[in-house]
Amino acid sequence: MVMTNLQRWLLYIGLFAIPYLAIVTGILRAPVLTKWELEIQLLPLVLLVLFGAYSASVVLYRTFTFNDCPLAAKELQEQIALARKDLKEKGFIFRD
Amino acid sequence: MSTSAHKYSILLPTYKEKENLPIIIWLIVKYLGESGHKYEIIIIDDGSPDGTLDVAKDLQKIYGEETIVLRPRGSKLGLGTAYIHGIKHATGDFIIIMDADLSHHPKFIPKFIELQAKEDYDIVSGTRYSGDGGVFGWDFKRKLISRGANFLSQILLRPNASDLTGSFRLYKKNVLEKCIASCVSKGYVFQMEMLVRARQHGYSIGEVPITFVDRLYGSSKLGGTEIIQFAKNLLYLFATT
Ligand SMILES: Nc1nc2c(ncn2[C@@H]2O[C@H](COP(=O)(O)OP(=O)(O)O)[C@@H](O)[C@H]2O)c(=O)[nH]1
Ligand SMILES: [Mg+2]
Repeated sequence: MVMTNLQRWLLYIGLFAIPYLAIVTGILRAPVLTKWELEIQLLPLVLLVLFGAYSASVVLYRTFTFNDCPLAAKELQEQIALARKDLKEKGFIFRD
Repeated sequence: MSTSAHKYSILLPTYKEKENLPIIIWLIVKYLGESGHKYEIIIIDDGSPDGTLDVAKDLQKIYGEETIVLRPRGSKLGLGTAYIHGIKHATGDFIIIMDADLSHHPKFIPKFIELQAKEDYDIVSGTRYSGDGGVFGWDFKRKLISRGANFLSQILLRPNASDLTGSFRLYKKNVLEKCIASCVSKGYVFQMEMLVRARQHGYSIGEVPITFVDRLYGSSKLGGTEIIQFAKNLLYLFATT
């Protein structure tokens, strides 16, 4: 069976959430886990903030680097003039 | 002159494009004429009140019925069905879809054709978001919305193409028919769903960077309702594909 995008996301979230919940609820215990308890508890929040920051910077970067294409607009303007002239010569009557 | 036996049917849906139609036709004839490929232009006008169809008829007189094919419909039935209507009458083995508002420049069509022929792609899609592609006439807000929507759709839908909402593309005819048949959405998001369905069907997609010059004549629509519709359809596709 082919997974939908939603199912794929749920799978990843599940793979993260199950061990995470096992640790924070104390089902899973180990000295190393106790030592890093606060960090582990904050992990989802940290990941979310990191992902948000990544997304915002990618989108902003791409917005600022979006090509403006002034030459393409200029070329089109010139071609519109050429086209109008040539079409009139071919007997076309513009209705504007 | 080209030795290829292929024929390219260019679908031009029009609604209130009387200023743009003569220019776009002139440009298509110029660039395809120079390239030597066999082609036809199918104009699907949906009863435009500004007389676009009369303009089309005048152009047909100049360029001939082989080159300009008119397949008008009585009323504004929407873009998705306009393509279906156009395909039915297409005699080419490849279909090119583009807007008639001059935002899609015909100079890119020969590049689409070359890339398709070289790699045998099922679809070649114009992209504003990579390489030398870009947009003229958009302010910061419009660019931000566009980049944001594109980023979100890339993450949620994993398409094999960088420009999901663009509508300047070349398809193998049977590929286009299959993609359209499996599409459920209409309107603005239809183009996005087409590439998502293409991924599902396992079709290959090539990309050509295009410069998009936003329409000079007439009006375009991107308002609150379009954004809400986009979000709804994005989530729908996310959950089902
Ligand atoms: N036949 C037909 N063409 C349409 C309809 N709506 C839009 N078009 C055409 O489809 C193309 C894209 O429309 P446009 O308003 O530029 O959409 P935008 O670029 O997404 O804002 C243009 O060539 C329009 O003339 C419709 O209902 N029927
Ligand atoms: Mg447009």
